[in-house]
Amino acid sequence: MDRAADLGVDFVHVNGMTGELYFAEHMGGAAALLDIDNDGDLDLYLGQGHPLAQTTNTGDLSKAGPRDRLYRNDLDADGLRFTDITAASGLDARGYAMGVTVGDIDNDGDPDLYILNLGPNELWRNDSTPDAIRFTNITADSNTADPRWSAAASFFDLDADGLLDLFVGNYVEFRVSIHQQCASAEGVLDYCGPMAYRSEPNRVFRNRGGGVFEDWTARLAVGDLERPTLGTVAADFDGDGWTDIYVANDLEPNALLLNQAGTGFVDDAALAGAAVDASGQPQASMGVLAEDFNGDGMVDLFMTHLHRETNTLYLNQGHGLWDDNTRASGLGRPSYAFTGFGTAALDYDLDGELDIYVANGAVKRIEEQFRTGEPLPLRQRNQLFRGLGRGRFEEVPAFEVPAVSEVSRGLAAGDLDNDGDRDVVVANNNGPARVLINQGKPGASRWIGIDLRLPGLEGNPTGRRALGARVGVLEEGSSDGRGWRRFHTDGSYAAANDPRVVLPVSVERPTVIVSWSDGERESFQPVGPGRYVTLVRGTGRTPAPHTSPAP
Amino acid sequence: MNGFSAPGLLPRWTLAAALSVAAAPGFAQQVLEPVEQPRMDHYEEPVQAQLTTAQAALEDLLEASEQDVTGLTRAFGHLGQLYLLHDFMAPAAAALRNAETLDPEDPRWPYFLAIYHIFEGHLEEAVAALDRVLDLTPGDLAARVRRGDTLFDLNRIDDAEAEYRRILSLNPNHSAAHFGLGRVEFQRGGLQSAIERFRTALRGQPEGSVVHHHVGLALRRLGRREEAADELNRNEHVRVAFPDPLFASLQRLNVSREAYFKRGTQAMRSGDLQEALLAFQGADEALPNDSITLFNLGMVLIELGDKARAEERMRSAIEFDQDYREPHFNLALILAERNDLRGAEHHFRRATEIDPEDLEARVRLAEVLSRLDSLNEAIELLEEVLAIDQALPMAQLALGAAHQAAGDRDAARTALLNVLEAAPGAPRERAEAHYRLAVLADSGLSGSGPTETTEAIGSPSGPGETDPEAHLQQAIALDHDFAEAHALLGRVLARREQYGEAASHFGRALARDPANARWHGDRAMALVLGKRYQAARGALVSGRGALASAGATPTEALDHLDTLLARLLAASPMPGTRNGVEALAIAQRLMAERPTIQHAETLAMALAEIGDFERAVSMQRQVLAEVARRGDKPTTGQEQRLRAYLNNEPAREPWFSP
Repeated sequence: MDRAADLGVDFVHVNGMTGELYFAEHMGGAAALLDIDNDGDLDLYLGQGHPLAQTTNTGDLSKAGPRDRLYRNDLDADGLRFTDITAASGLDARGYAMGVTVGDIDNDGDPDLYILNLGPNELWRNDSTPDAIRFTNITADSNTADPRWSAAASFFDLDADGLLDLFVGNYVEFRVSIHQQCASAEGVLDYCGPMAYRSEPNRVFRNRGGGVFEDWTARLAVGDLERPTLGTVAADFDGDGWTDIYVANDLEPNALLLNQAGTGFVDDAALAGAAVDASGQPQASMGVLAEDFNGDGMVDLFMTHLHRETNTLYLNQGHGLWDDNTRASGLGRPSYAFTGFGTAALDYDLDGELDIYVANGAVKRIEEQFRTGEPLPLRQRNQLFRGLGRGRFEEVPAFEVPAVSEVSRGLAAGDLDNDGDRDVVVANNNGPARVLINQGKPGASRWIGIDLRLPGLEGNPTGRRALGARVGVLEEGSSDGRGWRRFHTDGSYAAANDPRVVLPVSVERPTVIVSWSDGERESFQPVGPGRYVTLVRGTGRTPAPHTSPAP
Repeated sequence: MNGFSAPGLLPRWTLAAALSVAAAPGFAQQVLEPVEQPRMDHYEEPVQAQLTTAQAALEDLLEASEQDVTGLTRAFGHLGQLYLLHDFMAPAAAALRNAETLDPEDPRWPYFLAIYHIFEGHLEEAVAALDRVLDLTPGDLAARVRRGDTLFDLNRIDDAEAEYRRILSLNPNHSAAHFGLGRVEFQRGGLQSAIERFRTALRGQPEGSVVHHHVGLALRRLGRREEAADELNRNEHVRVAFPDPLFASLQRLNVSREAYFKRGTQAMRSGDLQEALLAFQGADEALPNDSITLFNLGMVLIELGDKARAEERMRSAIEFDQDYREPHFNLALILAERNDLRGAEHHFRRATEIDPEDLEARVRLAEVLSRLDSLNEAIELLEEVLAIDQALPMAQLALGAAHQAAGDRDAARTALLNVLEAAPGAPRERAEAHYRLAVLADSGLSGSGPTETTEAIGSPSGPGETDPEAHLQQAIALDHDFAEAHALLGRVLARREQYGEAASHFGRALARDPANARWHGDRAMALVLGKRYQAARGALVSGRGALASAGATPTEALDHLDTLLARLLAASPMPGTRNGVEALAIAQRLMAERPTIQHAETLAMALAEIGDFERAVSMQRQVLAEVARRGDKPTTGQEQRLRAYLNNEPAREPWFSP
């Protein structure tokens, strides 16, 4: 159920629409869940828009204008409550937010914030102390102000130097000054599609340390593929110990950029079978997930798409091959009538199978809503798909799903109340943000929550979160894990997620296996279920050789 | 807040069909559905008129005292099609169901209903509608293909297979059915047989490139990765088409500008420029004086090479929307190409004013300013661009060129090296940068570009410069057809007395630009220096022919080749190549048209070759006198040739030595 209002999240997104139907205005709606103050609960960032000015993307940046907001989670024994701490935090972000990603760029153990804008992006370093939350804008010094329309980004360790580098997915060259008027088939003014504008190249920023990045786009030849990117997700797709990037493009083939040991990327999507759908056509990919959806230990891919396309599930067959398994998965037909954006893989009922939440919202006018005079006639209901195992799903009946029927865009998932089930924040375009608290399911199995950290620097007990790792549970009598989940913040659309992993467990002291981003494995036997534990690399045991396929 | 402009709400316009028709004789048991009227007040005029007419026709029939069932059926059906076309899905379905109710024997109505269901993802309903079509017209192959595909999407693989096989029993060459069967076989793991099916489909319809994707997937599964990659890369996402007369008739009903646009852009993508032209002309008729349509027409005309009409359309587009960047930009490109640099400057400036963040327009403006010798402004502009995006290769390249033109060798080299550093993924820009670096190295700079006279083919390169050959080889490796790079490499190699390779590179340059007189001359010179006199003669003759067929008038370009040919005919060391009479005729003509020192020397050579040494000596003395009158010193060759003629010997030394 949506509890935004009573939890203190009063954020209302403003897309700044003026009736001109600027292409960018119906695409925004960003949300991030991150534990800013390391107090063990998730705080909330929400990205804002504003009226677009005539000649620039940055619009009216007067101090009185709308701005991005930051909410601190004050979870305690009395329950969940958010407090707006934007002003005190120093986060004075007034760009036209289109997305967000989260990563610890300076390995100091707290998450930093990279805001994707229509216009220069912003890197905000988290300088919080136990006493105060504080963000500092280090965009200029960090060299990360990509001026393009950025829609997605992933922090990942490109070259295994221990520092998080940054992949930025850019969309199209849109500015108010080059706005085009597009019409529906009947000649009625409507939002344009991406083909009305030139695609922008993606960028890679390598972290040199000290909060400074260098643009390695040309060096890695990443900019060669100019396709309109809306989603990115970083994972080791080929199991070689180097983190790769999957790039979801709008109406163009997707890219699977395999990391060549930090020296470049090779796009293997076409040969891998993950560039276009089963019919051989590119789809309008928006949000993207990388998880093991069929329980075979390998990372699969799920993408949300346009109305009259299906959402698509690519199953990893191993050996670099993927198959579009949408038709058999049950995810295709129910999505046909919707335009999906944000998405989250979450085991909402803690039955051990991943479920999928999809935030929908049209991009072309819906006649019925238009007829009734709605100013933004793009509303569609969100959907939840229950995992049945082996990569099969069924749509949860609409009456069982929180009744969000708005122009949903960003979707961030995380356990806001630390009760073991993942909650959802929906960032709606030109409307209120929704905070959907998972009420749990009676009789659900026991769980254990895992936070993963690298060893700390300079005496810190823990370092940055170990993005890119995978976590599974070791079954008794088995040499390998099951129920593998990825530890990440990226994916979805315009959102950053709670990286923590929740695993259902059947024994009191389960053994947890962690496969770190470089492929090294370690096993841990944390304390009992029903709580979150932090596992630090190097403090577990090296497990027996495993037999499951490479991720 | 203000999004879609939403004027006052229209009342739901519901046809009285249910009541009227139910009351008509013979229809007492039939209940027709109400059909909602969509809002049309914002539609462009042709669409509105079309829909209004169709609705009015239906209303008239419903209000008539006697029911015209045939007319009503047609009216509901027509309106249903229009609604379907314009995405009014619920009213479309209602109207089409009414048409089918009124005339269950007409297969069109269930067919369009099936299309509606497919659009909406109601696959079972689509199959049911297609079943009704096939009950009426079992031979309708389009309906069978749609049924097979829908069954496949429903994962009813056996049923889909049966349908595809039925189609092949009726038409064994049906590509869509072969493709469908291939997918069925692939689904069942019969990879080899699937590939065979796919290849059969491709033989019937090679343009259906999406089939390559499926072949690639099957090959990939068979472990044949290289073949698979090749096939997958050939997928240009063109679907397997099949004759579908009803669907085509539906699409032809669309008179909106958008429909014409769609046809136009599809035609552009498939390279059918004439079809694109027709489509955009249709859009122009549907909505006259529309700047976007005019701009698109201009773009098609550019592709068709009709720059003059393209220019007109771009100007018209600007007339109707002065702040439309694209026509300003493209008009400027056209003007720059035909050397109207002031006009180009004006329109590039407008493009940058309209969109100050359009870096490409700023770079183009700077290029034009460079050509106008406004080098300081050009450099300033480019530095501004690079301050915004330091990795923009075209800006670095233009900056290099501007510095080169301004004579700032070091700055030019720095900018060009930046292109190489910053643009590994921009082969064209990198090739151009290598070429310009080679020019810098070759010329000793001063902004003059590469050596341009045939005499200079034998001259040494500037002192202290990097070897240009490496840059030129890189440029050619990046762009095999880079004519200027081939030509310059030819000159560099000729200087190193690698005449055979030099001639080969001039030949490759000429393959790209057969009307370049200078390169024909350079090639002939390289052949002469390589002692391939006969080949040189052939090269000059064919060069002349190429220039003539390119419409070259007898100006300097032809003069140049004629001079070389006359000298070769007069002074070639190989007897079989010489022809004094022909040489004399050419030389006399050249001298009559343009009495220059060069032509006088050529005439002296020809006179000597026919044995008229007296006149040859006289002519050569006139040459030396003219050289002295100008305050110059005669060349060694000029003096040697005079001595030869005095000794009654014709010229037999290379005549171009410095």
